[in-house]
Amino acid sequence: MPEKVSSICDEKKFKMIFEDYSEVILNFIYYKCGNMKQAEDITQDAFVKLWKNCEKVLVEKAKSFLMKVAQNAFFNEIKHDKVILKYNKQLFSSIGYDYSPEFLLEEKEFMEKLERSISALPEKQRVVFLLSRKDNKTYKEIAEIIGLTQKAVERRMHLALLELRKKLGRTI
Amino acid sequence: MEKPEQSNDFLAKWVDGTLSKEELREFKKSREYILYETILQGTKLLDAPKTDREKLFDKIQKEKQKEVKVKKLLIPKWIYAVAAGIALLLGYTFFLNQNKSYTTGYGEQLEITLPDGSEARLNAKATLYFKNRNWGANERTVFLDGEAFFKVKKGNTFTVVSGKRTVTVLGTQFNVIATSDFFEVGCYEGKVKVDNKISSKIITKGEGVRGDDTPLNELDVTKKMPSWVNGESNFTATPLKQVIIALEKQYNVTIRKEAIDQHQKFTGTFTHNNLEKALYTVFAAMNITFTFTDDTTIELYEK
Repeated sequence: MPEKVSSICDEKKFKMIFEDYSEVILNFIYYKCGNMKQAEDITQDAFVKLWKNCEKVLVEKAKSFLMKVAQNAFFNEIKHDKVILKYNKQLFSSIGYDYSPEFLLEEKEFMEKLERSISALPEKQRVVFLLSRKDNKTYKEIAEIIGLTQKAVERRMHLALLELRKKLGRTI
Repeated sequence: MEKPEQSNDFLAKWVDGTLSKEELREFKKSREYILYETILQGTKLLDAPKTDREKLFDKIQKEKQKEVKVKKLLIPKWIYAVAAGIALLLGYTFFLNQNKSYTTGYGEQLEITLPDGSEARLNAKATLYFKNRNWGANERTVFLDGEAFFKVKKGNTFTVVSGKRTVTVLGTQFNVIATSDFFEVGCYEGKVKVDNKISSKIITKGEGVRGDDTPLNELDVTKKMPSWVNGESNFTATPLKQVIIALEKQYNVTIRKEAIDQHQKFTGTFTHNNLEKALYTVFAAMNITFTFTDDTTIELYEK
């Protein structure tokens, strides 16, 4: 028998779990509701609940426990704001992407339009799209987070891109 | 080639890099390709608002400690205010030595242990008193105005009196709401006898009755304890007027309700720690709009 079984009740372990999962939970809830303050509150509550139940929850179940608590909290929250993403003013060229200037109208205008279009996506598509593109999660990981099959995640991703192209296609 | 539009995961595969070489080559030739590529690149340049996760962790650490304390002592936050209240009351009763009385203010709750070890927990804006001398020797009677949850130790008859209405029990757990024009009793354990001005009923665990100057109507009580003990108020087909009174007591606000129908029934729950959320949960469901005319006055009107 090992002397000490790794437990969530161990402060160090708890901190590690926070480091590992807090960002994706924060972003996941933010992508859903568009309110960072709310996302922070929900994330905080989820971790406090995890701590309260640290004796009952196995380390390997911590992530799904947190996700479940956060999602439930989200369902109980009422307010949904617009998701706001900010263009951080990097130029397209700075990431080494070559595009024909005549293709894009004003770059800034395009970015604003893109931001609005992402905000306007159906919530389910938006969450998948942003977890994939902003948090670099694989479809498999996203499926675990939302509790769906990978196939369904891929479908949502596909639909999200189709939708974005439709919205942005008109402007170009 | 398969058109992206006709598939249901083509674009997902493309993002993932799992299209076949052939498919990718064809896709790159299409007119839309550059736009899709631009969308992906553009998205990379967008940022979500940042959170200071260190700070968030500190907050969690603080909350954690609070949770532990509550668990160990089983003493909620309001104990300090309440302790002071009791000390004050003790001072009074020392001199008067007649009635022992307890009162809660807006949004407060108070847990009282009666001389026989029975417990009474008062919800917001309620008063409970009993005659101190010889209490429990022959009978145990308390007087109530407002809402309280009782856990009664076995012994001789225990009676809650509110005006002309009485609740009589042996040993049991039950909740009483007795205000000037509303009377409701829910039984959570054991057996209770309820009397109002015109009728009388015996209810057991899981049952409840309601009725002030009308015959007592039966209700269901499903929970183990009334939900207000845990920071929520729960209602089942309760006249809106009573729900509004409960909101006012909980949050110390004035709700102007002249413009709405107060007799309609409300079923649901409101929280005790967020006024706006509480208002929203109650009134959105009833198709009623609310506005704050100042910090503590809320006006209601039909949508």
